[in-house]
Amino acid sequence: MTVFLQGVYEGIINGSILALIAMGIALVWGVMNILSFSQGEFLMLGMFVSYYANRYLGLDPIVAMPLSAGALFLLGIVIYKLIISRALRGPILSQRLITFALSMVLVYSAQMFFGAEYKQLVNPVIFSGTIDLGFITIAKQKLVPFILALLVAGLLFLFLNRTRMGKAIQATSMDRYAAGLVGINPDRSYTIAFAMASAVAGAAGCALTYYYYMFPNVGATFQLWGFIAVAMGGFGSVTGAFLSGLVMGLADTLTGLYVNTAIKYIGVCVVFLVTVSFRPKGIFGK
Amino acid sequence: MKKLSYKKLLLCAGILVILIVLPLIFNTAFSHHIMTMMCIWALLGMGWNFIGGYAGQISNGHAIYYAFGAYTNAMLLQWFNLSPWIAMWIGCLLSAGIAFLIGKGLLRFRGHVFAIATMAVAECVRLIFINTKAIGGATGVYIFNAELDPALYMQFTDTKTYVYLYMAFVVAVLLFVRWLNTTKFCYYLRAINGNETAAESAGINAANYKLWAYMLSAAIVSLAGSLYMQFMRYTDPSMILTSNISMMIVLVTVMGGVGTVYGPLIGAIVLTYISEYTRVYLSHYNGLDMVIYGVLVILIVLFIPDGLISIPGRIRKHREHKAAVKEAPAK
Repeated sequence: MTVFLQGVYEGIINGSILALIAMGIALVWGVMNILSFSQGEFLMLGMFVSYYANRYLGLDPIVAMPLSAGALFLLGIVIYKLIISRALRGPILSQRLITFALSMVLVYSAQMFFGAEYKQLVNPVIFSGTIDLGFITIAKQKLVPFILALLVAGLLFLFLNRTRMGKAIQATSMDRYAAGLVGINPDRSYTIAFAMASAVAGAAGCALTYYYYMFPNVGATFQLWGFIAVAMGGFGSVTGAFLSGLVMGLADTLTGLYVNTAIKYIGVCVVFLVTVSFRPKGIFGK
Repeated sequence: MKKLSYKKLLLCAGILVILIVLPLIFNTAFSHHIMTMMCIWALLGMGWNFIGGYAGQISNGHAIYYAFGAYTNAMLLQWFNLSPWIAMWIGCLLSAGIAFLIGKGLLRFRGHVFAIATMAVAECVRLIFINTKAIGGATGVYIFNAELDPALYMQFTDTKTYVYLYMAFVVAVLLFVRWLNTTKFCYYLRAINGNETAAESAGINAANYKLWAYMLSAAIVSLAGSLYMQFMRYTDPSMILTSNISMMIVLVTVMGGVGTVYGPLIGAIVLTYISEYTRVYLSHYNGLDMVIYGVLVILIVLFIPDGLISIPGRIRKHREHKAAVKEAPAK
């Protein structure tokens, strides 16, 4: 029983990172109908920002999180203005390929500037050690992604539903031209949405540095899982992405625990395909 | 049958002469390597074009069939000493069969969900391949054997032979695609791509045709995989089953011109050229080659969204527009 509970706990932690990336992808997908292949790379950049902040400024990743989120927010704005806004005028296939090529550029630029070796946090951090609750052991570092995911999900929900800008973004995603007619600047909505998605990925990267290695290609795995979580959660639904991210993390860890670690991914895919077969638009899809 | 005009015959003869002479002018092994890879990517693009271009279902997981083609060749050679000339067709059938199963399950999804589902399945297949010791697992398969008869087993020492042989394959498949383009099959696919509901209301069984297109694309991609195996003589899951390869197959077709007959060929030529030359001349800067490649891809896809094959058409339209503006004086 304890093994199962520990598995569930680890699964939720694992799923939190996926949920964070998935929320970013869902935001971009829901608002702009672009499948952003570069969210994993924003995660990777967030990890590197946190690593260098830790190495040269001695900052704990939690402290570096606003820094990373802010830096990636700015990067998101730049990338949107330069590339994505032009891509949106073209066919959908080109949009996907542009984000894919962008992800390649980011990965290999990171490899050029940061080197391809696996890195780990150098300076000591605040959270270390574990809390032993008897039936499960909680590693303090691993709580960070979970709390972050809840925080981000809550903040995004509040932002999208209670603030003017958030509602403007929702309106733009429903009907871009109608939103323009009532005075919303669709380009600004898209910029904010894209930049927020990349900021979320950056914060997730910071949370990940506690217990994961950093290397340029780290985003690729999380990227694909994020996609699957979003597809399962439903088109454009941030809540759906969050929940299915957690579910996927659970499926992944429990499959690894009870079946075979080599085919964890297949367990996740099975869950995904079964869900999508019954509800092709995803669980919360519109 | 249409009367062949002298102009067309001359054009064909000219192209043939160029194809024959090209590997002789650029006579280094590296140039031959590039030309062979261009042929393989052209085949990949032409195959993917059927499901992605004509039928409009963007599949991001075609690396599966690429790998199945390559591995079928290798395993049938290792286990049964079967010549690749036969094994490649068995690989095509196997891939078509697997495409039937996968397509049946996945083709009901549209748009982004289909793309994600195909990516997920491709990753699953990659993990299965890595974990199956019988076909080499993560260490891959390797079929180089100097004692085998080169012609019978398609392992030539002279790279020129590879170039000519693969060019022949490309020409054959290109003619096949050209012919198929004029048949009812592609006509219906274009209708489905335009508006699936309308096509179905006109009596076209969309699901069946999309499945056929998917199986055909899998077979051609598998053929390319067999040729790749025979050229490289070694492969492993991390070389041919990554999502990068799947996306590059899409890239080749889209850059050239998705849904056209000659588009994938042009895309393959340009893309292979860019990627191979940047790799050779720039890769000692630790990844700069891929950065340049990515930047070029972004630029090309941003500014020429219809693919490189649309450039002559655009230039012509631009000239016509300029001429019209000149003729009508500003009032």
